[in-house]
Amino acid sequence: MRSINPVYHHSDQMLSQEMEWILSAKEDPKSFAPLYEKYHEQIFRYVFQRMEDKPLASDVTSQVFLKAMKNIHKYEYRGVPLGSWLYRIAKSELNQAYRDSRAKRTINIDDTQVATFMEVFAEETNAMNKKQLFHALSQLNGLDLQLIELRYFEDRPYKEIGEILNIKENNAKVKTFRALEKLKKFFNKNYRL
Amino acid sequence: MNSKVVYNRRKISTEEIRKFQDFDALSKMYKKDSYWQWKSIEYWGTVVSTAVALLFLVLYI
Repeated sequence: MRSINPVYHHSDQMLSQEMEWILSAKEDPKSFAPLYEKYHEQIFRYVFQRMEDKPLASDVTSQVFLKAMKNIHKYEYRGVPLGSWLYRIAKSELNQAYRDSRAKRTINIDDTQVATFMEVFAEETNAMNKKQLFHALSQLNGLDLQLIELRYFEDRPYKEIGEILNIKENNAKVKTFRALEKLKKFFNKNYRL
Repeated sequence: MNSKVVYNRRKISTEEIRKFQDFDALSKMYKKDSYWQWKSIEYWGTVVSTAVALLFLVLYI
């Protein structure tokens, strides 16, 4: 069973503390500081996972928080942490960075994740299969890759994936399953070539 | 999709990420952005057209 991300999931007390900070930030953007401190690392990691360069990841992260500060007055509490809103901004800022050719879409994968996929595909972990997997991953479209990363690389529960992508939990589950099927299809297709 | 796969990249530490954390710099960017918003064509365009509309209402209605 997958673990719950403790940084993302909040108790009622944590949510009400966060709500106080949000209300203060709506009055005065300087009061955004505690929210920035709380979420900076999470957002930086999310951005850096999807690009190569650390200074550029820091630049995109700053843009995310700048946009959040400018639009905090529009933010409406929906019973989930502010993090899901920040991830949505990060997603759009990342896409902007790819479009402007400031960053190249990067897929960061390690041994553990490769082993997970080989287990799912019922294949042996060897150099050839690794190569096929990398090629299959680079063939996925933006949304499918995002779903695979959120679920299999970052180990996020479907509820959180749904909140980040602004879709229902069940829809996130179905779409992730389809993305995995596509990945498997690309993997097997490459294998036969 | 044009993407690049990076295998087994060194994990970045919390300390390293903290070096990039700078709320003062972000606040300065925010102030600068707010200032330029005041100077933007959209802002002044809206202000001037609203003033003209109001003037028209006062004079002719």
